[in-house]
Amino acid sequence: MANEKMFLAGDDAQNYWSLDYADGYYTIGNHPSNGDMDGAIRFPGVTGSGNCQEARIFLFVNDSSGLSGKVVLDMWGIDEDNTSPFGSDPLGRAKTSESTFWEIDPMPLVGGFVLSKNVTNIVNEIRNRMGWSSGNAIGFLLETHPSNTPHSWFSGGIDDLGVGMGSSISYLLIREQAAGNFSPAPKLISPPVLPGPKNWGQAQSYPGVNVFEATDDQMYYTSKKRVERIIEEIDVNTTANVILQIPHGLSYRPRVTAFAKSSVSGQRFDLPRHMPSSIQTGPEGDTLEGDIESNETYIRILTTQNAQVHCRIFLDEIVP
Amino acid sequence: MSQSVFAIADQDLRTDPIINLKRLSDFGELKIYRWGNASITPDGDGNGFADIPHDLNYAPSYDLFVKLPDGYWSPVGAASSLAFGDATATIFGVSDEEKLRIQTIGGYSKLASLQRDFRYYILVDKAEGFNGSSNIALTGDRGMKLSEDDVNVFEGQEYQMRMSTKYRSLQYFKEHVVQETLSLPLMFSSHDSQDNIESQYVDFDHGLGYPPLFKAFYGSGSTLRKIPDNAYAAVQASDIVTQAYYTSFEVVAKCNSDRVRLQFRRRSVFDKELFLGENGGSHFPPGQLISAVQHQPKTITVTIQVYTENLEGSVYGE
Repeated sequence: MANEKMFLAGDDAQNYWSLDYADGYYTIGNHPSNGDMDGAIRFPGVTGSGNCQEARIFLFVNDSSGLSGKVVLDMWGIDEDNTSPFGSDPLGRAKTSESTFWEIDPMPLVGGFVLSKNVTNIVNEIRNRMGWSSGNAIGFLLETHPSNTPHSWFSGGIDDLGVGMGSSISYLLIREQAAGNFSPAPKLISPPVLPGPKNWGQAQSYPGVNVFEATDDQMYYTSKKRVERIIEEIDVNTTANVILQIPHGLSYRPRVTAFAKSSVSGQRFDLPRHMPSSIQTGPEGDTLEGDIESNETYIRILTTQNAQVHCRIFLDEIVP
Repeated sequence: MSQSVFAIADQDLRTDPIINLKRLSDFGELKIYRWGNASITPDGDGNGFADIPHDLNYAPSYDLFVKLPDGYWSPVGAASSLAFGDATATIFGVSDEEKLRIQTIGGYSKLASLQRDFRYYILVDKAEGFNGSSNIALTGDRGMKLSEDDVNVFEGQEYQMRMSTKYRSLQYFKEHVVQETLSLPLMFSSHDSQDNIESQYVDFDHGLGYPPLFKAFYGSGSTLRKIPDNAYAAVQASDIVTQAYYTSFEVVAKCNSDRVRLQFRRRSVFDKELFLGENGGSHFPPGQLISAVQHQPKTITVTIQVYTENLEGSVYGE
C-alpha cells in the first residue's frame, strides 16, 4: 500500500455544501449578509482502513473576506460508513465524536490559497467503523465558531469562480506511516579484542628508538598489523559532468581514492569534494566539485570541470 | 599473482590467503612523509587558510582531520551541517607541488570563524600523474626499499617504491575493520510547518584509548562510497544529478578516544511557496505527492577502518 495518498474533492458539485451558496461550494465563517455560513466537504474513494499515522485536510480557498479578521470553526467528520453525495443538506447528519477546533488568522486573497489542518483522529474514527470499507467516502462538517470575527469568511469549491487557478484542489491527505523526525535507535559496537604482543615477525621503530622497547606510536611498521595494499594507480582525464567509468577487473567493490587536479588553480582536491549548498569560492577561485564511487565492475568518477584525476585502487574489500 | 620478492604471513606463507599476508611485495603501501598539527583562525566571514610546506616537488596525497567543538575528530572533505553545524560552511584540503593548504569556507552562520585545529598527514604517494624527480635526496639511505616493477630500486623516486623502511606505514589491526548494517526509515516533510530531519548513527568503540585516524565507507545499492559524503549541493556519480536543496543527505564520521561515530542525516524539505501557492504561485497538479523529497527506506552497510595512528600523538617533520 502506498504510504502517502491524496484524495480530491474535485469538481463534483455534490462534494461541497454551503448553507448559503449554490451547489458546488463550501463556506465557513460569518458573512455580512448571510450571517454564519456553515459548510461541508466530501472526499470520495478514500482507501485504507484502520488507523493511519497522519491525515490532513487541505481546503482550497478561492473567495474570502480578505484581511478583515479571523475565521474560527469546529470541524467534525460525518459519522457514516460511506458518506453519500451532498444532494441534500448534510449539516444535520451525525457527527463523529472526534472533532477539531480551527482558528485561521486573517490572510489576503491573492489568486487563492490552501489551508491545512490535522484531522487524523477524525479520519481514524471513520476508518475504524465496523461498516467502513477501503474506497468509501469521508465527509467533514464545518461549523462556524462563536468566536469567529464578524464578517470574516471564506469559501471554495468547484472551479468556476474565474480565479484562474485550474482544478479545485481541496483534498484529504493520508499517510499510513508518518515517519517525520523519526530517528532509529543508535547502534553500539563493542571494542574488539586485539592481538597480544608477539615475539615473532617484523618490527621497525623510529630512528633512535629501541625496537624492542618502542611503543606503537614509535613504530614505523610492525607485522602484527596490516597495511593497505595498493593494487594500481592510474591517471585519467575527466570531462565536465560526464561520469567516467573505469573497469577494475575485481569481483567486488574495491576501496578507491582519487585526487582531481583543477584546471582553474592547478590544486589537487581529494574526492569526493562537495561544496556548500550555496557555492562559495574555494581556494584560488575554485568551485570544482567531484565524486567517486565503486561498484563490482567500475570505478566511477564525476567532476564538474574537466580535470586530471589520479586514482588509487586498494586490494582489500571493504563491503562484501 | 606471484609473490615476486617476499611476503610475511601470520601462519603458513604457502597457504595463507592474500588478505592475511602482512606484507606482500606485489602491492604498494601508503608511506607517510610527515605529519603534524595546524590551526586556522578564520576571518569574520569564516574564511581562512593554513599552508603546510613540503619539498616533494609534486602534489602529494594527504589525510586531513579537523577537531570539532565537541572534541571529536572528523575527516574533512565535504560541507556538513553535522560536522560544522552549518550546511553552508566547510573545510577542504588541497595540495600542490609546494604545500598542503587547509582552507575554511565560512557559511551563513559564520560558525567557521571559530578557531579550528587540524591533524595532517602528507604522504610520499602522489596525488597527480607526476613522472619527474622529487626533491628528496636518494643517497645515504639505509634500510629496505622495494621498487615498482621495472624500476631500478637504486634510481627510482620515492613515490615509485612499493614500500620503504624510510617512511612510516599506515597500519591497522584486522579486528579494527568493522561493518554494521543500518536501516534508514521512510521519511518526508511535514505539511504545514517545518522540514523534517532525522538521523541514525552507529558507535564503534575502538578500545585504543586515543582518537585514531580512521576511514569510513558506506555501501548503498551496488556502490561503495567514501565518508564524509554530502548531497546538499553535490554531484553524485550515481545519478549525475546536481542535487537540489530538497534532496539533502549527508554522512559524516568522527572519533574520540573511545569511539568512532558514523552518522547519517537526512532532511526532507517542506516548500511553502511551492505547495501552498501563496501569492498566486503555482499549485501542484492533482495526483502529485506532497513532500518535496521523500527519502525511501534504505538498508546501508557501513564500514569503519581504524588505524593505530593517534591524531593527538607525536608529530614528525613540522
